[in-house]
Amino acid sequence: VRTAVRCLIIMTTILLLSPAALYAGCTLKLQNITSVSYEYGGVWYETITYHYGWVCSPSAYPPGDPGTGEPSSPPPSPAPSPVPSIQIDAISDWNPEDLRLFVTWSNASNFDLYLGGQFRGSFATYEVSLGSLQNINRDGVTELEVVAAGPGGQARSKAWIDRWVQQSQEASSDFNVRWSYTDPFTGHPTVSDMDVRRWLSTRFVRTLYSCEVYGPRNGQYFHEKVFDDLGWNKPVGVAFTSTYSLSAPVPTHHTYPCYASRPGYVAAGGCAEPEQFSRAFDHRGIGRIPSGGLQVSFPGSTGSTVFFGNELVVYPW
Amino acid sequence: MVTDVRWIRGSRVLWALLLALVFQVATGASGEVRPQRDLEAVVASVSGQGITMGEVGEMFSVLYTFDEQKLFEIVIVERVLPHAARIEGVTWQEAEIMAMLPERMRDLESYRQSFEPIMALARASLKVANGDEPDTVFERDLKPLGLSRQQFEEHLRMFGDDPDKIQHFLDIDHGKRIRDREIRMTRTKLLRSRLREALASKVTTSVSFESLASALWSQALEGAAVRILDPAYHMPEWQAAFDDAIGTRSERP
Repeated sequence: VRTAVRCLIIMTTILLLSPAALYAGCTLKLQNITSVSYEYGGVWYETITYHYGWVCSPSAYPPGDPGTGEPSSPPPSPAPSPVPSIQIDAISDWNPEDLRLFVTWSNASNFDLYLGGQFRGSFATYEVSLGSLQNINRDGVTELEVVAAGPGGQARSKAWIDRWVQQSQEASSDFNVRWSYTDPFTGHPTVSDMDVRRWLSTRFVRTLYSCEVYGPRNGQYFHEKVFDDLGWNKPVGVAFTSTYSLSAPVPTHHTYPCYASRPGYVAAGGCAEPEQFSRAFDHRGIGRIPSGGLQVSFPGSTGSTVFFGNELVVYPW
Repeated sequence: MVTDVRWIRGSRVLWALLLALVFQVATGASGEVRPQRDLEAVVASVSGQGITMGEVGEMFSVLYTFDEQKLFEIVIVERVLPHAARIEGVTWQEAEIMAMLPERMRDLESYRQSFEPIMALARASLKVANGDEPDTVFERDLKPLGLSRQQFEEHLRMFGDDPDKIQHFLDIDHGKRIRDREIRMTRTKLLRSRLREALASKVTTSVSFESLASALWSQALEGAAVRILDPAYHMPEWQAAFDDAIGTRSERP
């Protein structure tokens, strides 16, 4: 089942009308992204607001300009070259498949980017794509470094991307399964039942950044693997089919068949590999065995299982 | 000479077919219902009370095995363990057994009520067997209960078109039947556990648990005057009474 999602995008531009903006060397730069998600009439909406501002390099201000408050002075003989500056402002994983880095820099023609010690290119922009978050080490700290070099020297700024594997708390539930079958000894239809316990947990890859983060954290939790186990106390076989869903804004379902295979016929389990990021405002994973999605079997079994479904929710925190 | 070889080969094929047939009958591997048994036939007696084939067959839903000796042992152990407990001075209370029951079974009335979906499927199957239209029956009687068409069709296949067979199912108080059996099984579990403890406390360097258990079991069988009337079965060994692995397993693997 897919739910249509409409994103209403409102771009709000905040213009700082200072005189400095009139000089060359000032750039309109994205300064933050905020989002609000809400459900209306069964449809999820997401309002994204982009906050822009003017960023000006110090060299853009002429000496003695009243806007800067600097006193006038006689023109010196040869002026020293300005010292480059650079700073990592923020990262945005709003789209985890296209991680964005925001950098403020000046007094250099461009800057170099290093990710995990590897040179990734030279850039002359304020915003750089780092590619998919999934390409960054999933279990450890990755250093991010930008270096601006010019005649006046060199400047560096660093940030760290910390990713680690984390298991959710185990959700569990007890339910009863009932089945009817033809008794092989009497030839009559009969009925039996048993209690079943279910355990559900998810392995996540969590991501944090040492710098500020713009926008919704859609890259914070990557749902990697789901463990769905059943245990029961009768020597019968159980097979079940379950779905694992990330709820919003686009519901995704992962179906995986599971079959009892362990000696003693007392357990069945299955794994799903959703391999998907959950959205910032809902990191839940919902594991559901649908009504009729569980079957009991045993030698000579000819019957039918009556089972009304089971749902468990796991949270990454 | 050639004829002899062919005869030997032919006999091997016949043997293989015979063995396959025996295996299939023994394991029920075909999935077919076994030939109906004489459920009233008395196969053994304990303290003068007969044990019928039907009582042995009922244990199928405990072990889900076609090994009839194992099913027979459950019934014998269930009847004889109280004798062993008396010999050993082990006591128990019915309230303890009730507390050990699965929560869903503690109240008979609500447990009985929980069989309603399956009884509804049986009643619907009876209507179809009596000539009603399956679609109408499903929409009217089963859909409002949250039962699926698939479940209905599976039950129609299982119940077949014999109204007597379905009525027989409907006449049984399944909730009480299953609960009573669970109570008996729970009593066996409790007595087994207490007797094992009692015997373990008597173990010394010269007297093993096995010898104590074997002696107690012999005494209990004698005290309960166990008689086997059907030669297909044999007297259970002490392990059947005191081995923890018999019965159900509840631990998480």
